[in-house]
Amino acid sequence: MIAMRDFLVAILIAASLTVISVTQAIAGGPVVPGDQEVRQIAENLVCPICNGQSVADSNSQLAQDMRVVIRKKVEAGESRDQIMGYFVDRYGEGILRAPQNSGFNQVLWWLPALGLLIGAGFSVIMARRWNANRRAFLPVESGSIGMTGEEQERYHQQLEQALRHDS
Amino acid sequence: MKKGKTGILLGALALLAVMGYSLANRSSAAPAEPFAVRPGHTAGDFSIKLFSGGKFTLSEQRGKVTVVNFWASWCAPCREEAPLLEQAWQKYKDQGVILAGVNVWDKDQDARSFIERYGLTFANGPDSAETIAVDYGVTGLPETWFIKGDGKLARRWIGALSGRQVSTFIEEALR
Repeated sequence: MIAMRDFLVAILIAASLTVISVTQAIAGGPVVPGDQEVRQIAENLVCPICNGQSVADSNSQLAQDMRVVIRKKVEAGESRDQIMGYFVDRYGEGILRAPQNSGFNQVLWWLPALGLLIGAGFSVIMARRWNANRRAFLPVESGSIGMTGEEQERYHQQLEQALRHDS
Repeated sequence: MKKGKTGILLGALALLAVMGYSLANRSSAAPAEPFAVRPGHTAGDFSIKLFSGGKFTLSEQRGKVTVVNFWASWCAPCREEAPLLEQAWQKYKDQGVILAGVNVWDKDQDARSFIERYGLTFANGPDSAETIAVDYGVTGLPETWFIKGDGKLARRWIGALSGRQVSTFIEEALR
């Protein structure tokens, strides 16, 4: 009974989500050629007055105007780089969602990878050092320090002589 | 092992030194204005249909100093400076100066009421194409561009202008 109830709840949730998705898709209206490109460009621009929202997501009038400009430029055949450059010329590099991979900004791109490498290297070094120290304090068993049988015999004889001498 | 440790430390210090130097250089200088809104840049051409009828085109004003003011009726600082702009217009209109107001993000009727309320007689029209404000890098209102007779930007001002500032900046562009 409980299993049947859970099954029915799962079906109901799945059906609701499907209805919501379909409704949103329909409400989005017909897709105009170039919509995808306009959206992609707008998503990569930060609305200058909207606290971090992209131009694609902001409802501010400035963002709406910016989308109009993007669309006109896409329809005029301008490339993505040209359009992004147009906005950078007017609003500065801060309008880009991702910093350009040039000049000092390159540090932002390779620093995380470098940090990961350094961190990994440091961890390996520390782990090896810790292991070496740990081995130094382990009780020495016969042969565990890598002596041959002959060497061990000689060592034991020397040890016994030293002990007899002390006593 | 000691050498390795020293090497890592020196490497980390070198990296920090490079980053610190780069950051210091960036922060010590004031951030440069974006290219297209810097003094000396040629102002983008535009045309607007005027509320009073007729048309205003920037490129037709070559030889004169043009003051382009972006405004909206709901913008409080715009209300403060509107009378001052009208005073400047009355003072300089016979000295080779043109004033043009570009109304943005506004309703037609509200804009017309604003013009009537403040008795504005200089050219005013809406940014119907919704591209002029973006082309001028506008981020807020009011914003005013002082453009020299050769079409190059003399100064861009963000925020309300005082009477003295309007006169000073017009004189600067006239020189």
